[in-house]
Amino acid sequence: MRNCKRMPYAQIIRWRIRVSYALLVLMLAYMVLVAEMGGGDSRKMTDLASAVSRLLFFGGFGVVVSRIVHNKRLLRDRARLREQQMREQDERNQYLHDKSGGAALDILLVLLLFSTVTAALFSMAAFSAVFPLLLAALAIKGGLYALYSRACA
Amino acid sequence: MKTKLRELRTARGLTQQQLAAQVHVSARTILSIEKGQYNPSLMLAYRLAEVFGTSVEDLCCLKENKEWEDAQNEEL
Repeated sequence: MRNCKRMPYAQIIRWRIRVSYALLVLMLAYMVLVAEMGGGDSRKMTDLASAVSRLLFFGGFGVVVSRIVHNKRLLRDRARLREQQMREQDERNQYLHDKSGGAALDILLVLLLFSTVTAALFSMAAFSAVFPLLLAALAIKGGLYALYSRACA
Repeated sequence: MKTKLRELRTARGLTQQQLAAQVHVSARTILSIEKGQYNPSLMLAYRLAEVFGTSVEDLCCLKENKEWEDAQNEEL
């Protein structure tokens, strides 16, 4: 049972929008920092590293922008907001999230994504070490989610 | 865990979607509970019992499930 006061869901969405904007700013700052430090030299990067770094960075940028748009739409439409809330706070979905690694694995995945992009831009040796770890973490998350989803289908 | 959820729901003429909306969960969760593959939380079990005007013990067949678990533990 929860004892702490829960924020209204609309407020949670507003905070997510703010955090997403902050993340966009950080990503732009990161791009400038990488350029200043001489990273991302395509002469030193393998094709895989180049493709992965572009996919993760620009893909991530696109995902953050789409989340901002999606969350803003939710705030304009109460019915959709309630639907989203029910989907997110559904206890079976929370159970599956927890069983597949929970917040700890989510944080680890974010750190691995950041490390993979940075490694791809600066060091092929580091990229070769970190990229398989990212793939393994994704496989573990996906595999556990599918396993428990079938078990309590 | 076995429950009487499906019997109670069909007797009331509710769909899984309608019941899910009343207790603030997804229809998938109701399906999982009916199949006995997901155990509802205490709060969800209480909400479901309230909808059908029964007790949590009766809805979740706690006595039967306990006897089954005790039998399983003895077998080990």
